Amino acid sequence: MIVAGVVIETCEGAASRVAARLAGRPGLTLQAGDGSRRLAAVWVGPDGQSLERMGEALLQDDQEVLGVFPTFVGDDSES
Amino acid sequence: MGVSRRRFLEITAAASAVGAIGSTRSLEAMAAQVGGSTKWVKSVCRYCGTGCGLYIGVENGKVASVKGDRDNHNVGLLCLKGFLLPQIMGAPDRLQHPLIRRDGKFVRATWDEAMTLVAGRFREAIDKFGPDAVGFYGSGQGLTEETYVANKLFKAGIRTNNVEGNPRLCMASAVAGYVQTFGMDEPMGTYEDIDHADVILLIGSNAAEAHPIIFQRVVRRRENNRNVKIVVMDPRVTPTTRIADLHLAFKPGTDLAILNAMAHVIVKEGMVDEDFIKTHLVFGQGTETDKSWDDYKAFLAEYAPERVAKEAEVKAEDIVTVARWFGEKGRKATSMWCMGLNQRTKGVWANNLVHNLHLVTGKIGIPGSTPFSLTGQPNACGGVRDGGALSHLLPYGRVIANEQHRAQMEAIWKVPAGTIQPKPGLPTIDLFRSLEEGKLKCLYVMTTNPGQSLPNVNRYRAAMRREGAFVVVAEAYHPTRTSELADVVLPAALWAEKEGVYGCAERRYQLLEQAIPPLGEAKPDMEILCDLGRRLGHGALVPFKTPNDVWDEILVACKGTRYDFSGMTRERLRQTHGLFWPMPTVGHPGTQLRFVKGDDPLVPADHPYRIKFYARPNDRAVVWLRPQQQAEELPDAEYPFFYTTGRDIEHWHTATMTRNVKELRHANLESMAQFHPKDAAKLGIKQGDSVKLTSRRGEETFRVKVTDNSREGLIYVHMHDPDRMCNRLTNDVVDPVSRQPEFKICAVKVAKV
Repeated sequence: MIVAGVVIETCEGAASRVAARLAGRPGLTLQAGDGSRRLAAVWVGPDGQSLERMGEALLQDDQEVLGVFPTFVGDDSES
Repeated sequence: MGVSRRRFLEITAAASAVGAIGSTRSLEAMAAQVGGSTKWVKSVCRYCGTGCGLYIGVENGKVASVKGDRDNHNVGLLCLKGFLLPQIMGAPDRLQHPLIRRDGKFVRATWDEAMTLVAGRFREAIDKFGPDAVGFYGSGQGLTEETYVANKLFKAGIRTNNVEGNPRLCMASAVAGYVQTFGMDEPMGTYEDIDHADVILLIGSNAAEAHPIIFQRVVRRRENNRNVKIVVMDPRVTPTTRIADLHLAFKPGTDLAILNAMAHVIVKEGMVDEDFIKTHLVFGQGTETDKSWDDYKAFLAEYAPERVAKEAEVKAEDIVTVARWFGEKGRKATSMWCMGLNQRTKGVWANNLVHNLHLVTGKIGIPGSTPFSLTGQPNACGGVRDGGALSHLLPYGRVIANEQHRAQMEAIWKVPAGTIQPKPGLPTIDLFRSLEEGKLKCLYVMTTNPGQSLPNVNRYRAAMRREGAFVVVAEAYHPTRTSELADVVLPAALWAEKEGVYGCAERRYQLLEQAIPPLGEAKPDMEILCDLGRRLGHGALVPFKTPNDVWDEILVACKGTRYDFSGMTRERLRQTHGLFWPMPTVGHPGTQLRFVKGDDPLVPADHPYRIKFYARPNDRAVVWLRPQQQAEELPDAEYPFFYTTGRDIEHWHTATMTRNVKELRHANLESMAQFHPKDAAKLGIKQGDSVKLTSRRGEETFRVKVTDNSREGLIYVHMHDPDRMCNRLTNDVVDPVSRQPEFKICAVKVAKV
C-alpha cells in the first residue's frame, strides 16, 4: 500500500466547503487546513497510479479544487 | 519502537502535508513521536529545471523515500515524479559494470579494460587526424563539476572545441535571445516574481505538466488576487490553459506576428514608458543596432491585430485584450516561455519579441515584471550554460572567439597561451553530421540519450553506428536507445550516489549531497573523466579528487566576471537551500533582481537610473525588429498535417528514469498520436486505431487518441516513448543563430495501419 501526504489547493475561501465534501472519502483523511485555500490530508491506496487517479478525480469532480500535490509518498511494504 | 511501518508513514505523510500548508505543528516534533531510523540528506530533484529542494530518506544504505524541502522555493511541494524518485535508484536496468562491444555483442569488462580501450581509440584518432576528430556530448543533467571537468579536458587538454550537449536542443534560443537583447544570458528575475505579477503570460509552455510546481505557484498567485490575469498562448489546449483568462490558440508558427501585434497595440495606445525607452534602449535589425524608436513604430504598423488575427487564426479582439492587460500602466507583467518558442528556426527572434514587450513598457527589473525563460533541465543554468560547455563558449560568459577570454581561461587553467583553439567547435547537429561524414571519429556521450532525443533521429542513429565511428556512452542505465549503439558503455553513478551542484532556472545554485554509495561498479562521471584525462596524458589538468576540488577552481573561474559567485563557498551551499548569483563575496546575500540598483552588486550605488544593462554597450538593451517568419516546413498537399511534440507530466525526456517507476510506467509512457475529432472523422480513424505518421525524414506507428485538445490540422505526440520515437519524424533544421533544431513544427501525412 502507498501512503501519501497531499496538499489540496482550493479556490480562495473554499477550503472549508471542499473539506466538507471530502469528509468520508475512502482512503483520504483530512489533517488540517489553513482556513482559506489549502487542506492537508493523508491518502492511503494500493499504488501510485490510484493516487494519481484520486487527484484527477478530485480535480474533475470538484470545481473548487485547483490542484492536488503530494508532499510525501511512502510504500507500506517491508521489502 | 512500538510503531508499525504503516503508522510511521501515516505520521510522516501527515506531517509533511501539514507542514506544507504552513501549519505551526512541527514536523520534527511529530517525527520525534515515533523516532525513526531514516537519515535525511539534502538534495534537489533530478528532473526538470524548476529545481525543487528535497530531502532523500536513507534507510539501511538505500534510498527509501524523499520529502520536499519546506525551506526551499517549492515550500515542501514536489510533483509525483519527484516523490517517486527512490524507484529509479535500484532499477533492474541499472548498469553496474563496464561493457565493451565485441563481435556485435556487449560483453562485461573491467574498468581498466574499458578505459584502456577508450583512451587508446581517442589517442589514435587525435594522433592521426588531429584533436577535432574527437568530441564530447554532455547534458543539462550533468552536475556542474563534472561538466566543468569535461569542458576543461577537451578544450584545454585535448584542444578541441567540439564540446556540446543537449542544452543545444532545449535552451540555446533562450540564451541567444537573452544575449542579443541584454548582452548576457539568464533570467534577471526569480520565481518570486510570480508572487507579485498582475498579468502572467505563458507562451509556448505547458507549465502544468512540464513545471508543475511553478504552475502551482501561478495558481496560488491567481487565487490570492482576483485581478491577476493569466494568458496562455499555445496552439493546443493543455492543463495549463485550464486556468487561463484568455487562451490564444494560434496556428503553429504565427506567434511572432502575434507578439508584434501586441507591441503594435501597446505602442498605438500609449502604454509605453517613454523615459525608459530614451534612457535604456536602442533599436536594431539583423545584427546592427542602427534603428530608431520611429523605425520600430513604422515596423509595427504592418502588425495590426486585424491582419495578424487572420494569419494566426485567432480573434483580433483577443490580441488587443492581451496587449492591454500586459501594457496597462501600473500592472506588473511576467512572461514565461519554454520549448514552444525555443525549438524553432525562429526561436531567437521569438525570444527577442517577448523581451521587446517588457522593454517598451519598462516592465522589467521590478518585482512581478520580468521575462522569464522556464527552459532547463535540473542543471538548467549551472553546468553547460553558465559553465560554458558548448562549442562556442568558455566558462562564465566568455566566448571562444574572444582572444582575451581565451587568454583568461588559459591563465586559470594554467596552460600555455594559444592552447585553446580560436575557432568554435561544431554545434550539436553539425557534430553528429561530422560523425556521419566520418570526420569525427570518436564521441564521448555523458548523461544524455541522443539516440532517442535528436531530431531526425534515424539519420544520427546511423551515424553513431557508422563503420569507423567510436562512441562511448557513460550512462546509469542499459540498454537505452543510445547505449545500444555504443562501442563502450561506462556505468555512471546516479543522482543520490554522488555530490555536486545544480543551478535551476532562476539562477539558484544548490548542492546535492551524496546520500548513498554508487551501485555496483558505477562511478561518478567526474571520476571517469579524470581517469580518461590521466590516460590521455592530461592528469595535471584534472587532478581533482573530489567535486569540492573542482568547485574551488570554479570559484576562481567565475571571479571578476558578470556571473561572479565566488562568495558561494561549499560550506554556504551546504548550509543553505540555494543561492542566487551574482554573489561576489561570502557575506553577500545573493541577487534576486539582476541589473537593478540596490540588488545587483554589479550596479554602482551612484548609477543615475534604476536599471543598468551593464552587459550591453552604453548600458542599453536592444529592441529588435524581428518580422514574422514561418516554420521551415509547413503542411502541403503531400504532407497535410502539422506535427508537434512535447512533454507530459508523468515522464522526463526519454524516460530512462521514469520508465523504471511502476506508477509512471503504467501512466502514459506510450506515445499516442493526438488527433482533433474532425480530423479523425475525415481520416476515418477512431480512438485506439493504429496509424503510420510519415514525414520527409522518417515514419513511426502510433495508436490514435482523439481529443479536442489538438487544433484541427495538428497532431501531437509526446517525446518520452523509447519504443515509438517521435523524433524519427522531427526536423533537424536549425535556428541560424542559436543552432537549436525545429522540433516543434514539421509536416506529416497519415496512413491507417
